[in-house]
Amino acid sequence: MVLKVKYRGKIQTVNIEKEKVKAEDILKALGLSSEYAFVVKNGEVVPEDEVISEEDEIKVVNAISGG
Amino acid sequence: MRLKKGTRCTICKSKKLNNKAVVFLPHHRLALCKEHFISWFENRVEKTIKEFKMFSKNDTVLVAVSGGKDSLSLWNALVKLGYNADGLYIDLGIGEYSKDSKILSLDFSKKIGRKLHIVDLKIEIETIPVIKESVNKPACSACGSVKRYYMNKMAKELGYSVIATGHNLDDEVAVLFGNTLGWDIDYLKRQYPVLEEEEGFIKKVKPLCKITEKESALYAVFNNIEYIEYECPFSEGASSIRYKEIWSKLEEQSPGSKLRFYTGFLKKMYPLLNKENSKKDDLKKCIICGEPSFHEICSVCKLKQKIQKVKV
Repeated sequence: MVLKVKYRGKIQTVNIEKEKVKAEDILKALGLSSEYAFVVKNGEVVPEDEVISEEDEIKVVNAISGG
Repeated sequence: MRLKKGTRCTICKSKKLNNKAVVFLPHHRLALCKEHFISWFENRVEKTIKEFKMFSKNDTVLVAVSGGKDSLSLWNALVKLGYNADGLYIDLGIGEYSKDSKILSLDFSKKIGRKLHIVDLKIEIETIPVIKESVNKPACSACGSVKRYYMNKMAKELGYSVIATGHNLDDEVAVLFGNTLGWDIDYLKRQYPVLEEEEGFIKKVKPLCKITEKESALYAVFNNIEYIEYECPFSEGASSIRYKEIWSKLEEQSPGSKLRFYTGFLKKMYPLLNKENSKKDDLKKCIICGEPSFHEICSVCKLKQKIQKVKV
């Protein structure tokens, strides 16, 4: 599945070779951990096992910053 | 450990409600819905303020605002909790990054109806990229010095009694870890969420010191706070980010490690380090600007002199 994901203010294309994609798969594809990152689907924060479709508007938030 | 779809909010469950959790906090063994996460966050900030006697409702608080999630979440929470809190934004002149973060900070101050004071570093000294080129100093080091200087100076001039910064638990753990790796006793002695007022320095506090970086980002998203989502271009490769990634792996395997490391230090190590009244370096007043300094001329006035020389 090819998804458009908003990450760090930019739109990225994420290719996940699975038919049924979950939020945790997107984090994994971006090399992120749910310890510090999460997925926002259509404006709502969702659990890691939430199913994602190509039509969903997806944003990934990585909380780690330089500080 | 992760949140499974359909898990009920811990607090809702105790009230016999059926709301689903959207956040899981393994180190607190809590699964929370959006509303209960927001109130949990604000309660935790309030408790921290009281635990460390940071300030009261009678104080005037100046929040150091960067346009990032932490400072805006902190400002939002303080205003919601009924504290008298305005913001201070220092325009560092770092290209698009500063332009975007300034707009976001201004928009947010209008949204919550609080004053945002702005210091333009280009007018005061020079922009951070010019400073970096002109003096032989890493950008982050010069940036930290000027931010501390202007936060303190502006708070005094504008009549605020406390400066609050958005440093979170992950920031504090990363700094503590770095200082422990090098056994930097002088820095460790001063790592506390409250720095009391002394000889020209305004009281400084960190009300988010027990809030993780993820909790701070979640609070911003739940409250529709628009914050700068990309990193400062100068923070690339920063050791603090490396340390945070290491700690995240530890935390995954053993939830609560960060909080234990930090609060354990505050309770057990900090008092030991400060047990003996070690001789403090005498604070003087900078002969140029009058701000507190350990030398005749403070670091910011020295910086100004160097920039002037380069310009000539």
